[in-house]
Amino acid sequence: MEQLFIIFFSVVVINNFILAKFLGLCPFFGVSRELKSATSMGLAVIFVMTIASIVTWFINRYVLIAYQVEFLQTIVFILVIAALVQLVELFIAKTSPMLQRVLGIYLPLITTNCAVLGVCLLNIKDDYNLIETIIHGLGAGLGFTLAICIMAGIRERLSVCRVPPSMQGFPLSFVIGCLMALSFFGFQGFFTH
Amino acid sequence: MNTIITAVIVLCSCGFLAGVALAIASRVFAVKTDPRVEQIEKILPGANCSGCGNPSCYAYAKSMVEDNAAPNLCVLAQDKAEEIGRILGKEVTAAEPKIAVIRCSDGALGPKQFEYSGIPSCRAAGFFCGGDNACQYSCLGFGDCIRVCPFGALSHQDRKTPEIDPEVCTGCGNCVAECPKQAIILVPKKALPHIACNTKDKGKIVRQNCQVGCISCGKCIKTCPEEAIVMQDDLISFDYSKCNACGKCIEACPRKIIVQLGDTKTGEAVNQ
Repeated sequence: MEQLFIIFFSVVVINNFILAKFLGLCPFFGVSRELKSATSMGLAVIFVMTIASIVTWFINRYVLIAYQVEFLQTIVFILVIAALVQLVELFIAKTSPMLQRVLGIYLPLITTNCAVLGVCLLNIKDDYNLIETIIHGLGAGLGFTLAICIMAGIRERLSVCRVPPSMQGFPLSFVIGCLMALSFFGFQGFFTH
Repeated sequence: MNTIITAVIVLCSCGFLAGVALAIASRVFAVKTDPRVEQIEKILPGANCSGCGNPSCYAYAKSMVEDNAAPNLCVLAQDKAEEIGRILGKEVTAAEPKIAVIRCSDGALGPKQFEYSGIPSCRAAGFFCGGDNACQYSCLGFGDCIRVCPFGALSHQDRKTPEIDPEVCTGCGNCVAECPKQAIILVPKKALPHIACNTKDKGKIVRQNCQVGCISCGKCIKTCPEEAIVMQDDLISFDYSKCNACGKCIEACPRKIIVQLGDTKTGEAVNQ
């Protein structure tokens, strides 16, 4: 139980996928203009990361390791994640139009997101069992949502401020991203073993 | 050699299984959609301006098919309303094309209540004593309307009242909803006069606050042969169903703030 908590807490704040590992930066800057779309994006990422973690864990154990072709991890995971997201999207469109409206266009956007692939590869690298994998995937998604929502909140405030023309838009966003990463850097060394 | 063959087989079979699974899923989970929605969406302009009251053109097409929404709400596809009506199997008449006009000659000209240096937005400025302009009905000139216009029909300099390009304006009404002073209204697109002042103040107060504002003298009302001009709460407005664009009110107005639609009102009205 303690181990699970450490995995969860560490992936949400200490080793945050965006702010410490610098994965998934495109949606972080692209979809963080409004809090509403950022939340939808975050939900979609949590959803996809958790499911992709579980499926790739099984693929790795019962296909790749069984046939001793672990070096195929990256390419097989990309394939599986892309197919999986399509499948889930079809399923959601049929069963829950409400959920589809919330996740909407964000689901296909993250099919080939590096953060999703990253979480799957890290699961394998750190040799997690199934439960740990689920917690890790869920935590990574939550960490992503946390970061993108904070970013969107800041950018919404900034939209009504006077900003010098040369800093408007992405330049200022990058500065904010840096400052956020620096502040999250303060969590480093939280657990000392 | 063996490893390569295994790798190829594993990867290929993964891809094949994923493909088969997707093919089956697209059959099993196929969502039935009305083909008319797609047909109508193709006719609609795709500007997603929300002038019809729906968030997007797709949503409007859907509500026409499913919720029986009127087919002539789209300001951009008025000429295609009949075509949409044919798809839906309904009789449709095109609605009168409209255009937005700003009922203020120039808010930046009049005296100020105080110096405002806060957030550059009309809505924010309006929170402080109704804005820094002494005239409580005038355009604040921070251009909130310019930012919401999906067609780029508005433009302005500094804090002058924005100008609307009648060629570009579609009458979607986004700016009408955005203006915190309710200084923008939709009028029929035919070349008709309109009054470039929004004030409900009495003439004496208007004189103090503005060089050009309407002083409610009522000359236009007396001049109008069609009785198309009415005054309510010291605010002049036109009944466009009666107006025949004779232009007599434009000549009669001592403050020169009744202007022909399409004229650039700012500046001109002041210089005369």
